[in-house]
Amino acid sequence: MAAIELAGVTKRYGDVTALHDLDLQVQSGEIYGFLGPNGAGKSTTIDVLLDFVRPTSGTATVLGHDVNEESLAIRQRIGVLPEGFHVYERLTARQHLEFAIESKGADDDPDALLERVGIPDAADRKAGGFSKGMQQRLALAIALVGDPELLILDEPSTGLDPNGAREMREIITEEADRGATVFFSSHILEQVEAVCDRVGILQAGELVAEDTIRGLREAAGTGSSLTVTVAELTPEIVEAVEDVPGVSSVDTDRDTLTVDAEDASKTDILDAVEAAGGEVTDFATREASLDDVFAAYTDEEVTA
Amino acid sequence: MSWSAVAKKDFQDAARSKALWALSALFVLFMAGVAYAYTFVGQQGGELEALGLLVFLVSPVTLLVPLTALVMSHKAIAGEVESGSAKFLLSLPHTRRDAVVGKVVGRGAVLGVAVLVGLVVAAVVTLALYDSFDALAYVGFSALTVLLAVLYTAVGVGISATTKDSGRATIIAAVFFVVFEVAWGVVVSGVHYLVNGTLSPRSLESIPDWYLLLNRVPPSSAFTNAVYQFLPGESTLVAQLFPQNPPFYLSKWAALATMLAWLVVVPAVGYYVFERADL
Repeated sequence: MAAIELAGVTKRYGDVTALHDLDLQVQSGEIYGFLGPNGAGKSTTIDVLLDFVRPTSGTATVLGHDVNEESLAIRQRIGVLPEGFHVYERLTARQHLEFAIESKGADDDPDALLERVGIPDAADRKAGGFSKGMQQRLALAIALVGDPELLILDEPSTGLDPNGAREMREIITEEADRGATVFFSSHILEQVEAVCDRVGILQAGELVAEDTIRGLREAAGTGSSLTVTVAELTPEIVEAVEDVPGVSSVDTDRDTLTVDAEDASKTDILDAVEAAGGEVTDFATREASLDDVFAAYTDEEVTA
Repeated sequence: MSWSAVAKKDFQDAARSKALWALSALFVLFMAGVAYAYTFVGQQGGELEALGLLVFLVSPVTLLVPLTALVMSHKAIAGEVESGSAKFLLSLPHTRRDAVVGKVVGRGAVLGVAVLVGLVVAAVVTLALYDSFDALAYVGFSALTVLLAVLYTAVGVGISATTKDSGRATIIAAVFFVVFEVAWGVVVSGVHYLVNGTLSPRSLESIPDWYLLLNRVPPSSAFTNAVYQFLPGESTLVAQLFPQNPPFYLSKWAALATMLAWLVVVPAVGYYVFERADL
């Protein structure tokens, strides 16, 4: 069953179209990365799922419930880390969690949740004094209340340092291992790359690509490349490598070969070099980064 | 019942604010201060009666309570939507109706407690210094005052639900206060002028019932009439005009019903708008 399903969802604000006929399915149990530059419509999509905004046309369901008619049932079963949220400044971290636990009728231990997100000492401090990173961790703890079947995380690593972002990814993976579906948006690619089963790329309110990371790379024509450094580069070596099936291009720079290959094996290429009399002193493989893929789809300057 | 979680959260939040404590202190100083001050001015008849104090309190209460209630509540929802804390509230399983009801109850409780503390301290002063203390009348007056506080909190929350711009919420709350509490007499006169060609009735006998009724519409006016009509001693204009039985819509129960109507109608309108809004 689809955990999230949007069918033909359009959202207009006046004459601005935030979402344009968006179709999207997130399967139960997967980690789905929702990528796109700022302003692409990621948060609007999430707002539709939470019934914060109502689509101009189209339908959306979460866990089989209509997002508008049965929003309460949805929010009972999901955990949300919103983007652009604001803590209740005068309430402590513990009071925030107690509110969420009471709201969901769950029986979590606030201390255990805070321990899990790495701020156990902040339980009785007012959230108004928290750094952005701590607020983000608190928001994640709130999202985890009640072991939700689906986690919706909007730009979850906002305000986190690299270490915090890694811990966030670990928790996402743990939740997926528990059986939860995870839907998270990001404009930062490494995050998505590290944990996602599938990725969708949103651009100007439309889904321009949706695939596994590997599939996206292949579709964007940016396969892997191999650089081989030999003791002495000869034309015979270059020829031999060009003849290896699957190799699309070979560039040379002094004693280094850069080989673009769709699916030729590394071993075949190295064997060919040695068969042609080359002595391999060094080699490295490089997979196209998702940045390349992303840029290929969005035509945007991407800064990670 | 999820509004109760919202109410509890809102109460905890407000109870930690210095504003609540300042407010409680204000009401204590005000109520006890008036109770004490009245001992100097209220003694003309010889006996110092608590009943006289209550009548004396009505007018300042109808200014102070509505103002503080509106100040405390008019950003309840708009402020949360604007800042982004509503994203927590509404991504948890609360309907928007729960949010409105919870805010009314939570903030109403905060202000109700502050008012009640003031009234209790004033009661202690009265017991100590006055010749008579009509406990039933005092309890009745206290109940109506707390109702006025909760009513105006509900009005403020209702207003705050109609917009996600807290600046606009402030303007609407100010307009509400001016129209119903400051300039309502002008509205009534205007209607009288349109109907009868004069700004006000020429004699007691020529006062139309609807004119009396219209004057009783604003929340504070309904409160004032409820206090006068429920308290012993029929000193009101309605009592003069209808020595036997006033029409039901000018009765004390109608005044109470008017207060309850305000308590329900403004939040209901706010909810109606809020429910249909994109956040």
